[in-house]
Amino acid sequence: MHYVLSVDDIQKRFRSGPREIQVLQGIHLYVRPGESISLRGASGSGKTTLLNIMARMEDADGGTIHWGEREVTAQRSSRLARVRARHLGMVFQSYYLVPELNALQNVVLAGRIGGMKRKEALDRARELMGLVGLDEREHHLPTQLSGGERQRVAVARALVNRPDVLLADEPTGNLDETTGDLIMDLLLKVCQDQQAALVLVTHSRVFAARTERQYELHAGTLHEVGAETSED
Amino acid sequence: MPWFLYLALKQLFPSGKRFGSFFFWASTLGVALGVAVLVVVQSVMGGFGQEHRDRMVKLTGEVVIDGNGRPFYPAAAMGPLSERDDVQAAVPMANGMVMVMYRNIPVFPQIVGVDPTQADGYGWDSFMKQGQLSALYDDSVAVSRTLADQIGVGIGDYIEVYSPLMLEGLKQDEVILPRELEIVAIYDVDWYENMVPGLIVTLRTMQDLYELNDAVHSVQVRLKPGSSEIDAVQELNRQLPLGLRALTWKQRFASQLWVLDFEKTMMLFINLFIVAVAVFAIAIAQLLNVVRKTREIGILGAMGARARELVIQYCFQGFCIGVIGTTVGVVSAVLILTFRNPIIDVLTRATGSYDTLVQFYFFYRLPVHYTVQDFVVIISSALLLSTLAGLIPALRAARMRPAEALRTEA
Ligand SMILES: Nc1ncnc2c1ncn2[C@@H]1O[C@H](COP(=O)(O)OP(=O)(O)O)[C@@H](O)[C@H]1O
Ligand SMILES: [Mg+2]
Repeated sequence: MHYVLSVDDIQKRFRSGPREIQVLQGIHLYVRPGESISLRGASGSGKTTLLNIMARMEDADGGTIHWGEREVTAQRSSRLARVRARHLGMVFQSYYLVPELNALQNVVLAGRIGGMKRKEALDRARELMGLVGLDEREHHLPTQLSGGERQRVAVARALVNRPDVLLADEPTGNLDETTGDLIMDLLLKVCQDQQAALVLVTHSRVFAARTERQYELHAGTLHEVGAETSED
Repeated sequence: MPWFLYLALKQLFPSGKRFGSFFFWASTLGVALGVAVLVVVQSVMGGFGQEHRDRMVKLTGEVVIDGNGRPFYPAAAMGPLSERDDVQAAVPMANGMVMVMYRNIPVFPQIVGVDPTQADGYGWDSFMKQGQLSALYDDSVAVSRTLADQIGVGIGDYIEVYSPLMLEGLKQDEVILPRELEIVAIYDVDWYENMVPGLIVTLRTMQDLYELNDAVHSVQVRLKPGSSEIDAVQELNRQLPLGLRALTWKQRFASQLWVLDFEKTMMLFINLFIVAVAVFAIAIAQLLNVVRKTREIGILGAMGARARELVIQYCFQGFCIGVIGTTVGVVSAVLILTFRNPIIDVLTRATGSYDTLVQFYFFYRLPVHYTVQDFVVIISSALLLSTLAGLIPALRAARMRPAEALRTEA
């Protein structure tokens, strides 16, 4: 089987003072091309930590990580930078746009970081701004955009380098229900459109239910929800 | 343009803000203040040093040849001097101490004898308040303002002068007749009283008073502008006959100048702190920039930016701030220096310290002296510092795992 992202037996401990807490103990997750997956769990259960480890933004204490065929578990972050840009897109709860750049420039920047030429990045950014429905707002600064609009820009930014996987950490967490719904629609739509797999961390059962496979993170391990029914 | 340079500029001058970010101006101001302080302090310190030197040299010449206290015939010194092409003037002097009586008040001033036909060589003329050095004749005297005030004499008065050698005559029961001298000039060197003689007479008169025949105590040498007094002294000391030595003005007045040296060391010490404060202002500005952007550095890392690119981004930002801050700093320092005297006037009048200033400091006008070298050093170190001050925090932030950077509260 070919996976775009896979993690095996991930272990993660945090030390806080004398106490050690085992946040992740033996996580396995295999993401197939283009599929959508949701991760649910109580606050503090380790969802963000898992996502960060999958993106190699944080080091695990054990286990292996593959991006596509490539094992990246122990690779130094400097060598990973470009690979990450092309392989993974990330969306955060708090958008994290560069405040000094307007919407379009934010998206272009990600393309440039990923190694695109200026013209190529600009064309690609325009295309995505259209896809997320913001072609009218290209020249607005983040502060001039609503939360929902900012998250759309963030989604466009995450997709600019044509990643195989999009990792979204509670992308609707800061949004009201209606706007959250719209972002959810958008995420599923654009991931399908761009043939990117989606790994979605969310609190909402409703949103989780809209993904093809659903997992719950509990006591450091991952359980697939309704595994028997989601089998084709 | 690589994305990291583009982003660096965009952060300094965000789209939609016409005058650049607040942060940009705050840190530019930090650099500008640091640079301005350095330039001003350096120039004023240099000015004091230069002014001090100029005044001393004007009075004494750069080099003096003496017989270590023993009189000598000036021809012995003139020989080696005449072969040098850096000598502008060389004039003989005799000096000592006498007793002056005026209306039964005795005082004991220092006295020097000069050759009035070579008045130019001594540099006294600019200090003459009344009369001229060239007007001296053998039975006349020029008196310092301090001494004149002390005994209450003026131009045209006569004073009686007794030389120490007259004591010798006393032993042999001779009748001592003092030398009567007419006051033809009054001079005022408004600083360093203790280095200024109370009386100036002709060399002839001084030689009579001290029974020197044609001998003198020293030859005062003025060098052509731009010559090195240290070189001259070294060479002269090889050529002068035994018993004669050449000294620079600094060596000659070493015992009187220690206060000034002390002052200069103090200033240097204080200047070190000023430099430290300026450096701190520059460094802290850059540091704050990076620290407040830590989370963004994490995001860029998550988007695939390399640590090296992030470090260059912040160093480049520091460099831009450095260039603009240094320019502003140098320009304002030059403006401050140009208008220093009006500024000081206003300040001292406002605080009521104007009279004190004029009364107690030699330099009512603040002297300023700077060299191209001062500027090169200050500018290049400010630029280097601005660039490097961003380096360490940027390295730290770029080395962080992106997740950690994202977790920072900033
Ligand atoms: N750097 C850290 N140091 C110590 N504990 C941490 C650190 N990061 C996360 N944790 C702890 O790990 C647990 C999981 O955190 P997180 O992954 O953010 O949870 P979630 O995203 O599911 O709410 C929490 O108990 C949190 O306090
Ligand atoms: Mg979380």
